[in-house]
Amino acid sequence: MNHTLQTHQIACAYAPNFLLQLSFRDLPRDFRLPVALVDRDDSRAIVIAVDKRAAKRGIYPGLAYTTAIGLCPDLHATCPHPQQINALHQRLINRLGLFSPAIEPVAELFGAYYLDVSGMTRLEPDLYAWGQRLQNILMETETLKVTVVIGFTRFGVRTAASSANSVVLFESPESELEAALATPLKQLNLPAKPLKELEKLNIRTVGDIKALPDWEVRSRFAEPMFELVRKAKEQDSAVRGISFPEPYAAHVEFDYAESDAERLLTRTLELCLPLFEKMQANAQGVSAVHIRLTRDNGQTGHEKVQTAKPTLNITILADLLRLRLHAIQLDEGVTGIAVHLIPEALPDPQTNLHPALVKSEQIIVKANHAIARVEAEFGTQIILRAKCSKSHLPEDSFQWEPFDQLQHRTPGQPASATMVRRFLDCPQRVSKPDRAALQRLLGPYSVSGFWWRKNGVQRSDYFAETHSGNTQWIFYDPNSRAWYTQGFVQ
Amino acid sequence: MVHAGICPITMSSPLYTPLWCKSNYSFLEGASSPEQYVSQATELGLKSIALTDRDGVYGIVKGHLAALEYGLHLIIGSQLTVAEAGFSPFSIVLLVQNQKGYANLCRLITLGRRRCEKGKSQVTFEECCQHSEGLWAIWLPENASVLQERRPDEVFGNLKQAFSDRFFIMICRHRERQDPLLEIRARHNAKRYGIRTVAGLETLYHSSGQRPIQDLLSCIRLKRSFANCENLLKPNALHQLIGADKFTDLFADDLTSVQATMEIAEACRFRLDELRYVYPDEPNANGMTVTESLRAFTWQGALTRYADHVPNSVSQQINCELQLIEELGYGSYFLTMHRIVNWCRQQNILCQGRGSAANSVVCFCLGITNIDPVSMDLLFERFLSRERDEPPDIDLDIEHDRREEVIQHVYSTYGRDHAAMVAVIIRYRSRSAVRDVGAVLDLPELELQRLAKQINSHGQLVENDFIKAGLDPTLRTYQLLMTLANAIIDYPRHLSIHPGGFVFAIDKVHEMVPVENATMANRTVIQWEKDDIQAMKIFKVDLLGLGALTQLHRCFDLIDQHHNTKLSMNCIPKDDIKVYEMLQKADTTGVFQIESRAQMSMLPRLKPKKWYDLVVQIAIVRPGPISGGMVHPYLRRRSGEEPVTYPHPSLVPVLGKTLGIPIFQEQVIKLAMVAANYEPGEADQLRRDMAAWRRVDRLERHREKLISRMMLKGIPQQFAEQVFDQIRGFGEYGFPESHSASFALIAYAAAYLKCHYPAEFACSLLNSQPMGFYSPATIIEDARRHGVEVLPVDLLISKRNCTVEPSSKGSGSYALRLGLRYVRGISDKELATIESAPKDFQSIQDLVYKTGLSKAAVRKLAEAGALRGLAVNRRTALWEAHGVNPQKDLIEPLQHSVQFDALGDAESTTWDYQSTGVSSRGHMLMHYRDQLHAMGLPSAAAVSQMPDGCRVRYVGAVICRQRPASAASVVFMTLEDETGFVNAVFWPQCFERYSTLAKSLSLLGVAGKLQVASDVVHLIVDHVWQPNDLVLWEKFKSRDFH
Repeated sequence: MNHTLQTHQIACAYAPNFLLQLSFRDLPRDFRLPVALVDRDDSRAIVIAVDKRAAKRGIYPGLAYTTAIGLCPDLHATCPHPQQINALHQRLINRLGLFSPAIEPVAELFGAYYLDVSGMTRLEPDLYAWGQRLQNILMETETLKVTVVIGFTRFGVRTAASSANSVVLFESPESELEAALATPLKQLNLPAKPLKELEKLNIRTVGDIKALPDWEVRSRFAEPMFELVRKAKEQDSAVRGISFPEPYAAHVEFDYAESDAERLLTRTLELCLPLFEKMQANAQGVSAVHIRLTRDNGQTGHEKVQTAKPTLNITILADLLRLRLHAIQLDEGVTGIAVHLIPEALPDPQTNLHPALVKSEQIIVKANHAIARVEAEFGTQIILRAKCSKSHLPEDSFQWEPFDQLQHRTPGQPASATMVRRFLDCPQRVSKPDRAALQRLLGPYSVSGFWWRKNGVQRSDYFAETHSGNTQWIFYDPNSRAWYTQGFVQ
Repeated sequence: MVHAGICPITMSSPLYTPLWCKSNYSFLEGASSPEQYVSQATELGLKSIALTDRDGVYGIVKGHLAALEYGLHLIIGSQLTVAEAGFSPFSIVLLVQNQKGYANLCRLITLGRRRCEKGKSQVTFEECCQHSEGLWAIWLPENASVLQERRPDEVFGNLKQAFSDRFFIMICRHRERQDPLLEIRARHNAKRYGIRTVAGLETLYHSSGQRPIQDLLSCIRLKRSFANCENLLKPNALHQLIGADKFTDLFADDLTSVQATMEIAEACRFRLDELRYVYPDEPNANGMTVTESLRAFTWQGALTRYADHVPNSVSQQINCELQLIEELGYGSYFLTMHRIVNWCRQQNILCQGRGSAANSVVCFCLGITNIDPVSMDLLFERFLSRERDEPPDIDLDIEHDRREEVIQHVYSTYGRDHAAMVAVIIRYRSRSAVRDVGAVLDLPELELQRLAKQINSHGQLVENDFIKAGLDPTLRTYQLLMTLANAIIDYPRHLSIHPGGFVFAIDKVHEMVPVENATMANRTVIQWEKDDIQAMKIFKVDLLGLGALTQLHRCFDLIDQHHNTKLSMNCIPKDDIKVYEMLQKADTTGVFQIESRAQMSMLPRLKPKKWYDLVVQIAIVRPGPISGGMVHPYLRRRSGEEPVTYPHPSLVPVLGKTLGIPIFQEQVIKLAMVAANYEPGEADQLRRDMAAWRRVDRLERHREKLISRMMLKGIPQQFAEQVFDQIRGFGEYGFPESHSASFALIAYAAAYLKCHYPAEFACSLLNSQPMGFYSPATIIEDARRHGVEVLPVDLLISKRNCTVEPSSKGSGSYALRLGLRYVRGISDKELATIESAPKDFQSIQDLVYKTGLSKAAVRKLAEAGALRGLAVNRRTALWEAHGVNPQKDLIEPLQHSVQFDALGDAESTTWDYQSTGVSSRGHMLMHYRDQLHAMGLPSAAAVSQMPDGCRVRYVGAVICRQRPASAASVVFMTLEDETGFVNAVFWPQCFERYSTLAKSLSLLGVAGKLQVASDVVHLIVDHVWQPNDLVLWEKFKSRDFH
């Protein structure tokens, strides 16, 4: 049979029980317990989908989780994290992008996507085989079972996808419409309440609801029901695909291995210059440059430089790139460079008009440029700063965080004038303090607890003031029965 | 510097008193019980200890009792939260010097608690100063930040002025980093304002081993997990109770402050037993004394009760009781009860005393109880005895929907100053502990929920629970969970309110114990629970709600309305043969106390013929007699299959009423007194130990004593051991005769009404829901089986409640009309609107326009079939209900643009159940009877006629699942169809095999062998299936595993 069709066409790929399928991906292959998907991780959770084992044990969607475990004590409940869902969603869009130029998530059906297949017959003479391939790819790469329906209208393929088991190709718009009208409403992921109301009135299929007057449906039931009727009556087959912004990226391959940093810099800047023009047209500047270097041995290296502020100044960029390229090993030679410029809106030009702003801004920009240069030479995140946090333990009383940008001081922020405790990288073992050699020994200050961790904590801290006026921060650890210097007080 | 008035101290006087100790009654803060503190303090050689729970004195009675036992001086105090608008809150420790001080402390806590929502408290700075008399105050170092907001002059100046030399600043040394700074500030202020310092530690547990518990409780209180709570927990374990040596070492440089602890302890000598509790005198007419009033009311009542001929035995008992009441000074208490009962009668509220009060003829004459204890030979000493020296405790059952009126009447009569409700301290049980500890350990809630389901709610958590929940108990997290959850079991969690316990005091209650707000509006609760009240010998009155009384009252009203017959509890004809015939057939659905499956199984065997048989019937189907093995011997003796014998002639008077078998709790006590020569005191101790049945050890200590003494009296060892087993069985749950007798009165009245007025009985039962054992659907089915016509809910006819109306069948019979209250999803306000509107609606749109009902409510009415007078059929009504517009004045019915088919019979019944939970059309299975018959499946009525040993397959709706503790894992199910019930019995193996189906299906197919004995039919199930052919099935509500 020739599955090739010439009219305007659309497809819908649908992963039924999308979240349950997602949950199963995280379970071991030999997992044998009944599984239920719940809507939240708390005691008021409601079961929203179940696998066959759970269904056999009397668990069904809508059941309270507490009731469900009463019936089935070994029920494994799962609740995928939104991040997990989003990540899979993104991956699916990317994968589907390999099968069609335009992809559009179906707004009203989770796990369903429209694919534009108009004109695909030139590339894919057999659309049924195309659908099967899509199905196989998603199973192999994402362990996701999908149904694929190829037809003529958005409504037709989305409706059929809800009840299909595998790949469906409609031969004519009429056969698609017939199938759509016979589709039970409860398979369409419609809001439960109005669906139940319609069932009470014996309105059970798309055909049943389509037969009702539009305005009667609209005045009585939720908007999705009216939308359903409206869509059932229209012949829309357009796919409003996701648009991906064009990246500011370029690459070049060499037919030799380049090991000179300056020449590499020149080639890199040559790649950047046309991108600068595009950015300028969009009132954007470069905030960072990602460079991928392909080495002669086939390996790739990733480098990054960050500017102090969005800029289109080639001198500044050249300076930073030079520092970076000179800092890396190029002995093996580079056979290709790819650059990706990260854009950011250029600062408001009016800020440069006020002299006071100009001065303070200049200072900050200079400082940040200095930071950018250090990072360009020694690598990003090379500059860290300590952020205080409340904890009973000295080592937990601050955290290191990357420091990329200097900010203007908040008005009214006082300058610190307290004594400073300085930590040693690692506490150094010392002998027991000789009280006679000390002016004062303050303490002990005891910290114990954290017993819930693998290794609990027990220590007694002291501040030892010497006759010379120095203050040492020492502590006694009863576990090792030893004294240590933690740091100094200045 | 040594302050004037304090003895100079030396190293030879190292004693100190911990003045700032918080027990686990500082909810979720302190980690040791008051008893643990007292015991540890004694072990450490301390002479005194202060209990200073946060904003309360919840634990002081327990602390006081422990202190008496250990001979320790307990200082009573509290850490009060002081807060005012615009300033940070701070804490101050107040210690009680004398009775005035105690009253002031209670008053202050009450002030703080009453103005805040439940669980919080704040007093003002000014109030603290105003209530300073008799109190010693300690300023805590943690308050340092407050002094940055408020002027120190104002704070210290006022406190110093109010408390004078009784004001101290505490120096704390917990070896924390901020200690030195706080101490410098404290000493600076002490010096500047001339205030003495006192050494102290914030003590949160009695030994360092409790530190993890304190961390855990803090996390629970702060609703944080360990991972994000670290800096909010105490940094070290120096919050334990320490001995004098360690304490003096800690404050070696400031022994004056150590000595100050002793000075305070010496001054704060108030003991809780100094509290003078006096029950308030009842106002008396004609200048009579309390005794005279009580005597007059009692004799007046006696003449009424005994129709002017009071028997001699009664007169003697009255005199005897009155004398004892006067001697013990309890007269006013009885007058209060009399007053409450009289008020209830005036307000037409049904009430009846139960429990041990029914042992008193005075209570009977005063109308508090309805049992004549003399004719029933009930033991007065169980209620009141000179030796026991315990206040009387009267429980009064009141119609449940009018109990709040009585409670508010008590408040308004005695005033909130003199009456308050008793507290219940909610403690951790294994399930709540798992949930809270699990949250602190950051475990997923779903996992915890699964685990909680596996746990025995009264036991400890064991490894097997984890295995059953599919969790690995060897993992460290789960081990931590198990250890910590088990450790906090029985720890107080929060305060709740007793179901009906009231205390009264002549002085203000809040000067005896602080009073605080309960969650429920207009309720106030004291900070002590029932055991504390008992220990303090405070009189308590229990005003309990009882649904059965509400039902009886409603039924009496209906009978009066429709039959012009005035019935009441006192004038229901006694010993009605028809009633007993009905009871013998176990036809007791909806009859108070004897309607459960177990009671119904017993009725045809016991065959009650008189009222006292009901008393036995109610008491015998209890875990005590069942596990004590008393049921079958009693039944055999009753039916004459076994001779009535007594192991010793002395036991004849004790066991004579129950054919030689102990059935009531009083009999067990009497048995111990007669057979084992127990003194009254020992017998009373036995009663208490039986009441504390969870403490098995307490009952075991009587074993040797009872058995050996009985054997000495010539009773065979076998019987002696049997008696002890029976006592142990009673410990689990046994009914006192007086209690059973009170319930039997209500049970008989209910049975009489069911027998003679079935429509009114069912109607009143439906209007009193929720109550009883069965769902409204089962009550309606039962009424129908008794020939009552059931009419559907109809907006144009039905009232809010179900009503009785003349039946279409004629012949003076009455039909039951379902009320609008059964239509699910209609608010009380909407019901009132419908009820008050004239029923002249022209259409559904007109109904909405005139009543303003919401669309949702009209839809519910349409689904329930209540709009039958306004639409062609239910589907059309529902379609119209969806389209109504509350704004439109549209008298004409809507043009029907769409036509809908009417519902079929089975569909209609399904819709009934879905929208009202009941159906006037009959049982769901009625529509499938032909189908079931074709499948060879009999009805319940047919099953009941089948012979013993017959193999049966049956399909019915599950209305009850039970696994009684006394039945060794046997599961009992009651299945129902349109013809009656079938009792199914599942042996453990069978239930395990079919557990999914048996637990989840509401319509169940069962097969097994029939067991018929004494007209009691049980189906012993060996196979279960799902009747898939019956498709249109609405899930029945069953009563499961209660």
